[in-house]
Amino acid sequence: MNAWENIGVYLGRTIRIRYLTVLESLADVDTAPSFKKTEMMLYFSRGYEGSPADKKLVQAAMELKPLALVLAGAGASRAFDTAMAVLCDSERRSHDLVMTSFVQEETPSVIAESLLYGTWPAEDRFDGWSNYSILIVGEAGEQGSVLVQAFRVAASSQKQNKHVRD
Amino acid sequence: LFIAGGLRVAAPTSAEIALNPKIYAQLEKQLAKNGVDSIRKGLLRAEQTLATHETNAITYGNQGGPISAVNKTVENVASQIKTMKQFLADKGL
Repeated sequence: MNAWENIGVYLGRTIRIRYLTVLESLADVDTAPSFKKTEMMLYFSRGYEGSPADKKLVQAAMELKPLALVLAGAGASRAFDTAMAVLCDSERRSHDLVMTSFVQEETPSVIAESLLYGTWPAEDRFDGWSNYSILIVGEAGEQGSVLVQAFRVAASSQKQNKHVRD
Repeated sequence: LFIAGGLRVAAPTSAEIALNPKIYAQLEKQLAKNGVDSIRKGLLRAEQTLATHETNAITYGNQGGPISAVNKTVENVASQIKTMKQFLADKGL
């Protein structure tokens, strides 16, 4: 059975990763603590295919009302289109804004840095932010391992202020 | 501001965009830990996200769909970008 693995801490917030296999849905995922406290990434390790199951997964992720939902992997822009449809529809029912985006590049380091360095909750939800949750959609494999390593590096990299003016 | 599909689409002017003090505090920690390059990467990423959502606001607006959530996203990302630029300027970076 898959479970969350804590892989580090970034600026006081836990980074956890879990694989989501083809036989699982978000209903199989332990959502504690609430996803309303997390910035969430869905990484499609096999690529986003736009299948009914893929669309249902993105819709379900949006319904959990994470602080942010970042979509990554090949075809992430199409996954983003699905998320946008949910975002526009949800405004009738909820005030919890999900900051939705996708990563255009497939380089693991860019994906990790996009979440840690350039994704923030909406201002009125910022105070509840406690962790990052990365769901790797697909079986455990080399791609997932590389992404995990990229997150570890991004979270722990030391400053290199080479461009500071005198 | 501009009109799409008869709806008012968010395109706030720079003066209308507020700084986000919570992100400013986060950037202080990020600069100390990861350096200025990490903030520049974050800024580039936020600018890409803003462009995407502005395009979506126009597209959904033209389709007559509800866009207030998209507008709220645009406002938040614009504030994040302004805060990052102000932070870099304050630090002389």
